[in-house]
Amino acid sequence: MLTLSAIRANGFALVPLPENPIPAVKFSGNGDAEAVAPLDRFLKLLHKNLIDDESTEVHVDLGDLYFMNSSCLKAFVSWIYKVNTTGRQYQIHLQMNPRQPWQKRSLEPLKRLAPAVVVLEDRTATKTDTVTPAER
Amino acid sequence: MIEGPESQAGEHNVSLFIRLSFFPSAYLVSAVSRLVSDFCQIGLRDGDISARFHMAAHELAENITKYSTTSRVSLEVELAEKDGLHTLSVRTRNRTSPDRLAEMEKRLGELKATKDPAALYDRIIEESAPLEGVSGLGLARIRAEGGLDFDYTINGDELTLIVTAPVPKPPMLGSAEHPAVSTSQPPGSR
Repeated sequence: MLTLSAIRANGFALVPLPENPIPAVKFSGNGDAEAVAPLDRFLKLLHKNLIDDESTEVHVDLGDLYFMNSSCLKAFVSWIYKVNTTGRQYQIHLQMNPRQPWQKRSLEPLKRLAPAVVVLEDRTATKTDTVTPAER
Repeated sequence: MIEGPESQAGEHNVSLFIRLSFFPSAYLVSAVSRLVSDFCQIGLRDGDISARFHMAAHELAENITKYSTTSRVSLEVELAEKDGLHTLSVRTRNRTSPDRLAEMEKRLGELKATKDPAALYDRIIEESAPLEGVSGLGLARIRAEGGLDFDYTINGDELTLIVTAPVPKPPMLGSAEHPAVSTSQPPGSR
């Protein structure tokens, strides 16, 4: 079970989803410079949780994330690299919002970095799907 | 400070132009990039192009904010036409240190020269993966993910970066469906 605390700050949120039967977290809002350090810490703690629980997969809901800068992407790169190169691998399901085409473009390099670890999939659409700044 | 299209003259026809000069504060980066995205959406009504330029503007604005050595940086967005071809471009200017200029010249040279931006980006990602506290992905991301062309000039300690992309012919400005952009300057602006 994930023992992470939620982080809600200026313009973004990192939240564990304990109601999911599979370990799951949600990253939403604007992934800009303010989100980088909290995201990095959150992913490190998440990795420790998953290793301690011997989890085989984790779901990351990005459906309400309307932008992520390259430093936030790097935080994901570091996490994926760690999972791919340590002894105990688990799968990372990155769940995208099909209404945000930038997400597939941004996340595909992560899939190429570790094809056995990263799974890209569309999140099931909800009423609250966020629009991109371009769609506003 | 925001300037309108009448401040620019050149060989090509400029449909829309905006210049922002601002103090390099991290708090302004998101606001600046959203303004660029809105500008693109107004000019082109194309969500995909707006998203790509929003990303590029954000990465460039973060870059100049992080590495500027003076209290003023600028970012310009221009939608122009020449010989029937329409181009959208974002240009940033900032002064920076000699070490940073040398590093940027090396990176930008590689980005300009590469015939496979996606492969270059993948390589940069792999090389940076084991390194803590280092990103260095922003410019390569603009080229690979945004599909945008890069150019740059260095004049003394001032770096100018330009990213451009061809775009479809924009909807007509001045129609009832697409009102003209106001060119009046706010009170107190230069």
